[in-house]
Amino acid sequence: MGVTTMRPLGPASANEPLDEVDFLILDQVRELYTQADPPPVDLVERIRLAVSMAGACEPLARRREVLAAGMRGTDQRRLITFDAESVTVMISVQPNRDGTVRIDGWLTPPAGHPVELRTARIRMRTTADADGRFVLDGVKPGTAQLVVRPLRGRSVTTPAIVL
Amino acid sequence: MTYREVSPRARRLPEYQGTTEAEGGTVDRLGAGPSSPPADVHEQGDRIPEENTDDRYERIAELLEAARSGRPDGMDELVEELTPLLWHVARAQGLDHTSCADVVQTTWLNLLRSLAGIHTPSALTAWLVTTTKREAWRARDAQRQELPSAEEGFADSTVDEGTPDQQVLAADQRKRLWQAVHRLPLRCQELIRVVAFTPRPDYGVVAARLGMPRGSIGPTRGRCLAKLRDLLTSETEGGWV
Repeated sequence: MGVTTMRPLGPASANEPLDEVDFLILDQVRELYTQADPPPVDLVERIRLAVSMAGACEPLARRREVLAAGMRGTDQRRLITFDAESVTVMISVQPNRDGTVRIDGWLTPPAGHPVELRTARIRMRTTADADGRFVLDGVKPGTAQLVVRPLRGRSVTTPAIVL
Repeated sequence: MTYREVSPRARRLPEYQGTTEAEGGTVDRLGAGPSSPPADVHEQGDRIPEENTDDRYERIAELLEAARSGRPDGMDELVEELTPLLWHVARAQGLDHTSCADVVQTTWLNLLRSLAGIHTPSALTAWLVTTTKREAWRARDAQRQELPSAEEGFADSTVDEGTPDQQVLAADQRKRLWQAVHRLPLRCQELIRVVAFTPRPDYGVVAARLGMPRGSIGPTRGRCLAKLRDLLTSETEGGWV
């Protein structure tokens, strides 16, 4: 391309249109950072897995709020509420001393539905009590999602969250 | 030195050539630039004039359409195509690797819930960049900053292609580019780094979402890139461009 052959020398003006020299520089900057600071090699695969888990054909509950409780000093609980048409899931996520996480959950309307926690590696199952309460303890931190499987009706899955 | 040296240098660095030729035809058409970005992240109405596209932009448009219609391969390929961009958005905020990986992943998962309202690649890029930056800020509050310093990187690196002469030349160019980038103000470093991974028609949209003033880049060069270009061209010995 002969577009730039007649360009004058001198400092590049900020107000000029981008030309192929600029694109060349940006290409090289991309090359530079691709080598200097690439994403982890498995990141794309991890994300695809998380996306495929979250993209199940079940109704997706929407996250309504994320509250850092933090009202009592070192309290590190997070309160997260997921709303779906058939059920609301509220969970409290609390770190244990051993590095795992404890999840206390409440289903509304209250019912003894089976509840499942899915991560890339494991599935933990429990059943809520008649008041809709359930506990999942000793959960390893990471990306996970909850699935509520009502005895009748369709399952509801939350988006994957980072515990 | 004149700009006509671009072509010989492109021959010395084979990776340039395909890019320059493949995309050369779109350079002149970039002049009009994307329309102004929406004021709010939920407003996804940006439209790019049709002539203002390139191959990558069109490919992303197809993948977006596939993902929106529920085809998992569409989303899979979007993740592959745009994760590097989001990675560098997060890394430019000074987050460590682990946090950046979480941030990028969270962004993609959140996208699933917003996909219905995103109709164009520009809207998608804007949404992803904004969400990534916001998530990164959140995560950054919880940790000390870990900014890569100018000393890291290419001081001792070599490239593994070409003849020994070409290797020396390429390594030298990279080192100088690295040093030049790190002589820029931090905001310019962030802008240049992120834009380098951005589909071309979206430069302006992305700059705006990074909080840069209008005209920071695209359709005009903007001050950051002009400064970098001057830093590279002012060195006469073995000039960069």
